[in-house]
Amino acid sequence: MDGKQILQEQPKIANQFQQPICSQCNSPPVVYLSYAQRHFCKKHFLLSFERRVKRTIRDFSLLSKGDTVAVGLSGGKDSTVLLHMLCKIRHSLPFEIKAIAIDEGIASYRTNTIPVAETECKRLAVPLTILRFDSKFSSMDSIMRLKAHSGKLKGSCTYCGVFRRYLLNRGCKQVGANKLAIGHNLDDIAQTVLMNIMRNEPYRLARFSLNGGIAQDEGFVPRIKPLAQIPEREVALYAALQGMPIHYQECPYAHEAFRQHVRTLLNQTEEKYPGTKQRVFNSYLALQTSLAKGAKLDAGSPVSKCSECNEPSSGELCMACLLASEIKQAL
Amino acid sequence: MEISVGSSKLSLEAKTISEVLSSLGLSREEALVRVNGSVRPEDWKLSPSDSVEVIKVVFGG
Repeated sequence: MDGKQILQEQPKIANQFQQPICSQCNSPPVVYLSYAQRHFCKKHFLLSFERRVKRTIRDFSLLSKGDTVAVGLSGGKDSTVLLHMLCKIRHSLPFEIKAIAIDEGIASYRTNTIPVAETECKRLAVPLTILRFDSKFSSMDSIMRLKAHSGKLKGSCTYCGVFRRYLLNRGCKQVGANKLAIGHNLDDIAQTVLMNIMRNEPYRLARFSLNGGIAQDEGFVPRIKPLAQIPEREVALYAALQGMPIHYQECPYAHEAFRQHVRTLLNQTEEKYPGTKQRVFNSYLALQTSLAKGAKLDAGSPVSKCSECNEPSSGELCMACLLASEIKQAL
Repeated sequence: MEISVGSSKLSLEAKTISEVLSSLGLSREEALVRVNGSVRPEDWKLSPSDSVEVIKVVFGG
């Protein structure tokens, strides 16, 4: 974001009602971007949004001509907006788009978003593959029932995150995609960076990246994050202004997450000190290169194959198979 | 003025959207607000006859 240049300008407030106006055209605004001190009307917000996504794709070389990109599509706002953006970009940079939806088996949550994914894929003529947790592991509802009963298992996000990443990676290979696009926005990335620091896990930070990660293995499909520099609220605004049929609903298991705490902390800080999220992102970029070098030197064990499922793994069993066996033992 | 938040409705006095969000204990980072059907920024001034809808858009999960 061109913060330095636009910080010089003051928001325009004119007309007899003292209402704010768009910094570009004097129309009624739909948003005030406090980190840039600018109001935007619908037209100029959409233009600015699309320009920023394209810039992220270009600056981090996220897409190439001829790619087959699978979008990890939940039917929520982030992945739905991502799918629309990639379909727009496809006109100027030819690449193939497919979509993969993961059904984690959370009643009255995912059952509301999967139909959105199906409708949007049909509308945009994007082939959709749906993979279910319970076809390989167990549904999240079953895992959480077992946890409540046995008192042995880990938090919901551990199973959900590992199993979802596993199925998305396998799904990409199944549909012939060489890249997986996910809808992580600026908030997600700023939260992840802070969480890794707060948990003293710098090597997780080193592995985290916008266009792949440091683990180089043909079994891992590189993950790209074109919305990495767009605040979450703006993704929601884009979806609303484009009339996307998004359900705003909280995951029933999300209250367990440490992320929730960090999200609140970051939102409060952003409100008081606009631009904080982008500054966390910029700090991550500055640190990432040297962290990744260090992680490569210290990584030691090369990527091998899981003895259970033959997917890439740094140990005898991959994390997904380890967690699946933990669930079996708790039965 | 009448404010709708999800399926519930409540009545409160507020001069701006920012005041509405503060009264509801919401951060501007986690909600969109429609005034008479159009999304507006937090410094948008409100009149008593306005119809205001608050949509919480940031959730965990």
